[in-house]
Amino acid sequence: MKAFHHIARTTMLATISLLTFAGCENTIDPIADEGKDTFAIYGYLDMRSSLQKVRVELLRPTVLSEPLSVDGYQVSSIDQNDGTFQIWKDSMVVLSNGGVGNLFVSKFQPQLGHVYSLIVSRNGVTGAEAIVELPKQPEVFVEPSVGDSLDLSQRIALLGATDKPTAVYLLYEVIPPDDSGVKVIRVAYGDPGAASARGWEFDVNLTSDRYVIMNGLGLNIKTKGVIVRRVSMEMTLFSKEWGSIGKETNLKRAHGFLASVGVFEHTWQLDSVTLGKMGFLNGQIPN
Amino acid sequence: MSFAWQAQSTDLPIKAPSLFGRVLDAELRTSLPGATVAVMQKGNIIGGGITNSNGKYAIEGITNGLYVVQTSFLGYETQSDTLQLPRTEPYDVLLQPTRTHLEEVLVESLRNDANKFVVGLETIRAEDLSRVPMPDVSYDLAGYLLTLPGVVSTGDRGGQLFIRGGTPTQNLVLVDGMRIFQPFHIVGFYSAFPADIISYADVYAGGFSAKYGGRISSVIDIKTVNGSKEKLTYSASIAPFLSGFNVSIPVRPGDTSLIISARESIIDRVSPTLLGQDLPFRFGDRYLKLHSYLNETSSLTVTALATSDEGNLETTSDPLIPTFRKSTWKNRAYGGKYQYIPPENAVMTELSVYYSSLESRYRPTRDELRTSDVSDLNMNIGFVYLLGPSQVNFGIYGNTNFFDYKLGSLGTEGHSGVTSVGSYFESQFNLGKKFRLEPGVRLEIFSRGLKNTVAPRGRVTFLPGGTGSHHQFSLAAGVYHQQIVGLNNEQDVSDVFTIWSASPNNTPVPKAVHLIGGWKGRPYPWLELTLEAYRKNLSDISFPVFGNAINKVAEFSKVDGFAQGVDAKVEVTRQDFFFSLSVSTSKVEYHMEAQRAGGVFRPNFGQATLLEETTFNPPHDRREQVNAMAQYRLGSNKLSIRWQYGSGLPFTQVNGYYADLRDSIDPRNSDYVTSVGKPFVSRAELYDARLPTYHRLDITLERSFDLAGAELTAMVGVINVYDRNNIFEYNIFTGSRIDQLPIIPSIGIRVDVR
Repeated sequence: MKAFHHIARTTMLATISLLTFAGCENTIDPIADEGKDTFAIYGYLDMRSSLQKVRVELLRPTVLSEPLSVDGYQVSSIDQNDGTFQIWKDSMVVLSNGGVGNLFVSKFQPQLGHVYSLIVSRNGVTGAEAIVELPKQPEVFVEPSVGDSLDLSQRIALLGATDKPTAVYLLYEVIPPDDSGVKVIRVAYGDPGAASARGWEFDVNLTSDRYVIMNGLGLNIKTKGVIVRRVSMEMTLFSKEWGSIGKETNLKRAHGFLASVGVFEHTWQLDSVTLGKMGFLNGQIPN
Repeated sequence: MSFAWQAQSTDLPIKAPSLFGRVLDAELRTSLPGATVAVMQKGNIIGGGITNSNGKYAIEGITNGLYVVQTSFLGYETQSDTLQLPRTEPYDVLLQPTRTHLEEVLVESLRNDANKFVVGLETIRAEDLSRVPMPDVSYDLAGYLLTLPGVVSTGDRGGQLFIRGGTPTQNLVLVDGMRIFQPFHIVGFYSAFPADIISYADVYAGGFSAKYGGRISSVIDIKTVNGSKEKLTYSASIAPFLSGFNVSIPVRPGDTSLIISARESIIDRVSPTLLGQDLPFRFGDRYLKLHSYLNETSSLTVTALATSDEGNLETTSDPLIPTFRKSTWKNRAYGGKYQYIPPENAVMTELSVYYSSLESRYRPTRDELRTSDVSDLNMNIGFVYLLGPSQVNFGIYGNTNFFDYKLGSLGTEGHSGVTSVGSYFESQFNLGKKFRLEPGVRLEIFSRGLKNTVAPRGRVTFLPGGTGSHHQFSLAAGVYHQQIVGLNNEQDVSDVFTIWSASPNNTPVPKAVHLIGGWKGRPYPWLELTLEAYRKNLSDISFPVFGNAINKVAEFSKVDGFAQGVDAKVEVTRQDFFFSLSVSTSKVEYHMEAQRAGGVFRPNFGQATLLEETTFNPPHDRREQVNAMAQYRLGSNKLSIRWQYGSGLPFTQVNGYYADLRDSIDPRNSDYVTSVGKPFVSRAELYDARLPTYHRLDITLERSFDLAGAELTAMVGVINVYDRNNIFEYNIFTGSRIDQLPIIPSIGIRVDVR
C-alpha cells in the first residue's frame, strides 16, 4: 500500500510538471529564416537587344499575398571580362491580369563569351546573385563545296560547339543583272545539323539556295549575270541554361531562371568554281 | 491452464513418477491424447504433464504432500481431486464431455493466457474502453488506441493513426477477419464500428505472427461479440457527436443470435450552437452479425459492416480558406465464417470468406474530383491444433484485390487487379519451464509481376521464475512485406485521400524487418509495469515528393528508413481506481537516395523531378509521447480523466511563394515580362522544423441509474478542458493555422436493457 501511494504521488507530480512545461509554447513559424531576402529572378541577357530586362520578385509569405515591394533593393550587373558595372533601373510593369510586377532594365548589349554577374542587394549587402555566360564565339571551318550544279553543297563545322545553333540564316549579298543595286537575300536554315567529333556540323545546300535567291530577286532561274558580293551566316546561340530549365540553377539565394542569348555572324568567300556551278558571277569583296 | 510442458512421448520416464495414469472420455472410455494434468498446491502450479497418444501421462519430482490435481481437456469439464503424492497407484481420470459449444471452449482456451506477455501486443478488452473519456456516452476503440504508447495521430480529424513509425496504410485492421481499409471515422475519436460490438482487440504494434500478412507495420485484430442467445437486449444513446442503438435478438433461442447496430453523427447540426463554429463532418456506421451454433461442434457467422464519412478537414472560420476540399469515403465489408471442431480432437477448422471495399472521393478544388476504389476478396482455411499448452496454426488462403483510381487533373488513372495465394504456419511450445518459443513462416505467391515472398517470424518468451513468474521477458522478430500499397499525401494532413494499388511490377515491394524486446513485471497484484524497445527497418517505402507547384502531388519517391523507440507503461488497478501512465520516446528517419521521382504506381515517367539524396524525419516522427489516464468509481459514479502529451511533429518550413514564369519565358519574345505565371512555393530544409507540442485534457463524469430492468447512464464531460490550441494544419494559401477541436462540453444519455 505504501508503494502504491508513492507511485501515485510520483506520477501525479510528473503529470503536473509536464503539463506546466508543455503549456509554454504554442506558436509556429512557417517561414524559414533563410527565406527572408530570397528572390525570384526571371529573364535573359539578350545580345539582340540593347535593352536588357529582368523580373525580380521578393518571395511572398503566403500564396495569396500581394507582391512585396522591392524598394531599397538594387539590381546591378558586372561584366567580369571588362569590369563594366551597370546599375539597373527599377520599373513597374502591368501584368496580363492587371497586377503589377517589378521589372529591372539596363541599357547595354552583352558580348559573346562574356560572363556577367547579376546581383540583387540592399544597403550593399548581396541578397541574390546569378552568374550567366553568353555563348562563346564558335570557330567556323568551311569545307570546299562538293557536287555539281544539280546537287551542290558545302559543309560548315562549328569547331568545339556543344549546343545546337538555332535560327540559322545564310545571307547572300547580290547585285541583279539589271544593276538595280545591292540586295540581301536571307535563306532560312532553321536549327540544322548534328553534333560531331569536331563540334557541330551542317550542310549548306547551294543548289537550292540559288533557287531561293533567284526567286527573291524575281528572276528566272536561267537568268545569267547575278553577282555575288558577299556570303555570310547568322545564327542565334543559347546559353546552356536554356537546356536545363528546372534542373540546374545558376542562381544563389534565388529561384527562377536567368539565361542569355547570343548572336553570331560569320562571313566567308565562295570560290569562283563554286559560284560558277551556282550560275553566279564572282563579285566578292575580300574580308 | 498455464503450466510447464513436458515433452510428449510414447516412452514415459523410467524413473518412478510421482503421479501417473490415463485420461479417458467418461462416456466412450476412449483415451484423450493432449489432455493436461496439473499438480497444484495453495493455488500454485507445482508440476504438470500432457497425455501422450495413448492418453497416458506421468509427472515426476513431486515432494511428499497433499496436492490438488486438476485435469482438463478441450471440450470436457475440468476435474479436480485432492491427492496425497507421490502415489504408487495409477490415477486414471474420466472426463465428462462439456455441455457447452466447443467453439466457446476453444476460443476461451486460446485466449486464457491472460498473463502471457507477448511483446508488441496489447490486448484491449471491451471493459478497457470505458476508461477513456469521450465526447459521447458510448466508448470507442479509436479513443483507446490513442492512449497506447507509440500510437500517433496527426490530429483529431481524418482518422489517421501511425503506429510505431508505420503509416496508416501500413496497418492491417480486421473486424472478425474482414479487412477494413479505412477503419476510423473522419472525426478521429471514433472507429468505424461501435464499441458495443467489440469483444476484444489485439493490437500488434509490431512483431506480429505469420497468420497476419499484407501490411508491414501493425495489426489491429478486432473480434466482436456474439449476440445474446437467451433474451432480447438493446441499448440506445444520444450525444452531440454520435447517437446510436444496438439490438441483440435471439433469433433461435439458445442457438442463433442477431446483432444490429447503427450510429449516426449529429455534430454538423449541433456544432454551431454548441461550439459556436461549424464542424461539417458527417459519419455513421451500420453493423450486423448473425451467429448460430449449428450443433455442438460447428458454428456459422455472417457479418456485414457499412460505414460512411463526409467532410472538409480544413474546416476553419477563416473566410479566405476555400471550403470545397471535401473528402468522402465508404467502407463495405461482408463475410461468412464456418467453424468446426471434431469432438474427438482438439482441432478447430475454420473456413471463411470475406469481401471488403473502400470507395474514396476527394475534391481538392471545386471543379476537380479524384476517385479511388479498392476491393478485397479473401478466402481462408485455417486449422488450429491445441495440444495442451502447445499450439499449431496452419492455414492456406487466397486473395484477390481490384483497384480503380482516377486522379482528375493529375491525369493519372488506373484499373488493375492482383491475385495471390499463400499459406502460413506458426506454432507455440514450451522449452523447459522457462522458455516459450513461437516460430512461424508466411508464404505468398502472386498472379503477376510481384516477387513471391517468404517471411519468417518468431517470438521467444523467457520466464525467469518459471510458470507464475512475476517477470517475463519477450523477444520478437519478423520479416514483413506489403504488396498492396496505399499512397496518400502524407505531407498534407487535411488530405487523407488514399490511392490503393498493387506495387508496380518488377519493383521491390515495401518491406520491414521488426525486432522487439520487452519486459513485463507485476511486483504487486495491482501494479503492472511494461517496458518495450523496438526497431523496424524499412525499405522501398513510397513517400510523396514535394513539388514547387501548389496542389501538385503526383510524384513519389522510394525511401528506406527505420523506426525505433522505447515504450514504458505503468498500470495500477485497484477495485475502484485505475491509473495508467505510458511514456514513449521514438525516432523515425527516412533516407532517400538520389533518384528521379516516380508517378503514381509507375516507376518513372516523363519530366519527373530529379531528387537529391537526403535524410529526413517524416511528418509522423513524434519523439516523445505521454498518456496519463485515471478512472475513479464511487458507487454508481465514474470519473474518467485523460491527459495526452506529444512533442511537436516535423514540418517543412517555406522560404516563401513566387510566380513561376518558366512556361512563358521564350527567347523569341518578351512575354515573360507581363506574365502572371504560376504560384510556386520555395521550401526550406525538408522537415527541419517542428510544430508546437500537443497536449489535451479530457474529463467525463458518468452516473448510472437502475430503472426497472434497464440501466440509464448519464454523462457530462469536457473535451480539451483547458482549450489548448493544438495545431492541425498550417494553411499555405493564407498563412493561417487551423487548430484541432477547441474545448467541447458534452452531455449524453444511454439506456441499456439487458
